[in-house]
Amino acid sequence: MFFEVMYMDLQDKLTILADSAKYDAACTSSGVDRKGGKGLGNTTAAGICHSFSADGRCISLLKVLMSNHCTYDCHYCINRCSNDTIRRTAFTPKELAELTIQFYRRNYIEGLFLSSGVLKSPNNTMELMIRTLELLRNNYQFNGYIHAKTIPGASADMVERIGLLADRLSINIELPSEDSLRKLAPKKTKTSILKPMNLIAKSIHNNSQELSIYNQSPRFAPAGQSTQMIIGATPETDRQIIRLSERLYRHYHLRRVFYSAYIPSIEDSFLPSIDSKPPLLREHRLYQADWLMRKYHFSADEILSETMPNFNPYIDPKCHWALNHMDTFPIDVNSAPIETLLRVPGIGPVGAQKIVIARRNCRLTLEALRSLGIIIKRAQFFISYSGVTKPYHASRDYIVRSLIDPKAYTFGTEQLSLFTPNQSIPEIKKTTPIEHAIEEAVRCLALSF
Amino acid sequence: MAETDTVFLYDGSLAGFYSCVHTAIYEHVMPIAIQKDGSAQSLMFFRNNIITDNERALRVRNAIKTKLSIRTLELIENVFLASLESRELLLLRFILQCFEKGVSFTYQLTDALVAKLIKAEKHLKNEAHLMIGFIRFVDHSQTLVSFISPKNYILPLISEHFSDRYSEESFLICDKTNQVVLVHHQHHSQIVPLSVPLSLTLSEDELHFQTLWRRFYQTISIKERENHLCRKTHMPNRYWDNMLELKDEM
Repeated sequence: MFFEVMYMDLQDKLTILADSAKYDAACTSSGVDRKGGKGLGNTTAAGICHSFSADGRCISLLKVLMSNHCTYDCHYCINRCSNDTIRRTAFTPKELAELTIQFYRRNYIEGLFLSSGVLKSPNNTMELMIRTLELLRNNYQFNGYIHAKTIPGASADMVERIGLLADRLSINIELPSEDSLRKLAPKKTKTSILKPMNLIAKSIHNNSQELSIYNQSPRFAPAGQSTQMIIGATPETDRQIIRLSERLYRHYHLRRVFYSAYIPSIEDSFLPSIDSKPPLLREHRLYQADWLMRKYHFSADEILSETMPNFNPYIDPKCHWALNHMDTFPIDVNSAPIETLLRVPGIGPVGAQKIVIARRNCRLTLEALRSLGIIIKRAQFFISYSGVTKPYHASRDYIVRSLIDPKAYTFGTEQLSLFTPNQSIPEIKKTTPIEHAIEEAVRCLALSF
Repeated sequence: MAETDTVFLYDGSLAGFYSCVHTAIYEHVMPIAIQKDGSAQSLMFFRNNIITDNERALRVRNAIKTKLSIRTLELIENVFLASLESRELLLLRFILQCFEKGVSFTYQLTDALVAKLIKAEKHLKNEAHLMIGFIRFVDHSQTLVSFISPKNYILPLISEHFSDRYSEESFLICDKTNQVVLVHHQHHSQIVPLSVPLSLTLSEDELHFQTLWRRFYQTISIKERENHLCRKTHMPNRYWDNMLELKDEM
């Protein structure tokens, strides 16, 4: 009977605190290899997906808030203190640690992702989170993955303590400009966010120096630091967003920047209406641009410019760049260095590696490229190979049609209508049939390249 | 070597396969098929029962390792675990071509045979990687028990991960397809035949944790972003049978 009551409470708590945490996009369990041995668990550098939710996102960690009580009143957040419609609760450190361990033992999760609303003060919240992590690491001898969020405004010693317990730390940049932040989350000042971010970056750097001297030193956030921003709640351009990401990667050495499409949950005069659709295609383009910057050595200025400050919804950023720089092609697959191969539409990091390995033994032909998994339909206009010095010649119309992103079709006209029109992107109404929208786009794009 | 009309029959083990390779090379016989003892056979062909000789098998293995490369050996032993049809014969052809053309043949990704083997290896590794995440354990009297139904023989590939992750626990992973079970107890693992069908009655505690997990799974999804096709692409339906949170969705 007692157990019934205890579990009932835990069920409700878990539902409320998982529901409040689900908008935090970060959920990888990647970045650190740690063998097991004494105690329970290990980690894998590539991360492990234990399940996928109905929205298609990977479930890797037990993603919860310590508590959804909050003293802040950020306009976009469902947990804002002025919202009376939700039930508020909190885990005890012991409850949460025990839950994490039992889920981990059954292979449901790789570890814990712990964030929180601000309970009384940033430091008070951090203290509760630290107590949970200490139970996990010390009492349960837990070697699995822990991703801990740092509360904006937390003091330096809290950051130092949590970094020695967690694998990854993150603090959300929330919005892409200081103006937006001031308007929508006045208590989360730019300083309260960037100061801990800077401290974490410095601590990670110092820790790597310590480890080079003595490799058994305690590790500080071995999986690095990440952050998140909300897309579509405020009027910044895509160019502003990716330039910010580039600065964050360069300056704070972040591992990842996450982009979360704004899902309206509350009516607010500062925010898009509650009926507006979340900008999923735009979020997709941002992730593509992010990948280009991290894995394909593109700079933010190469992807978007002052004359083109927003993404083209029909063509992914890499194909868009290729069409605007036809003078750099054709590229000879048998001799070009790997960075140049990466610029060809249809060749990604895996394909480029395969080309480099395979061409050591023979000169590559078109059939050979096809068998390596290169998307010939796209690449053929940009490459030369054994037997052919000029690329496949075709009309601009034909080339554009081959490079159109099929996702533009699947996301639908509604998503396309969210993009800003310019010379190569016609204005699209929500009711336009998708085929008409694509035809109109092909016509405009072919003219502009 | 010309193809004769002989069929090699072996016991299904890796050592048995290497013994077939040894026979093919030293007796200059290229079989038309290599089959596991007990599988359906045509009466048209001569049957050669290859006896598993561990010493000969080891010699073949060492020859591959030293004269070719460790990568070649890895590819061969991985494809042996995969579910590729006539894999033994394909591997034999591959080994012979490697000895003939040199170790660089292993990296000839554009050759049809090599491409086929690499594709099978990729299929095996993908399934093992997915399975590591999708396996679900049940706590039954302090032992963690799970069931899997893989297409390939992945237990050797996932054994190291779980033995490390749950080094201080006792666990069983029962492979329903291949009728074997991985047993880990007191820091020691081994794979043994699965003889007894296991039926489990779940304790109250276990049911409560399962309910909690199901609740978490349902809550964490954002309704406005629902995309069942995306979920199916990442998590094919055939894994859902052994995953408790998805049984409701099926």
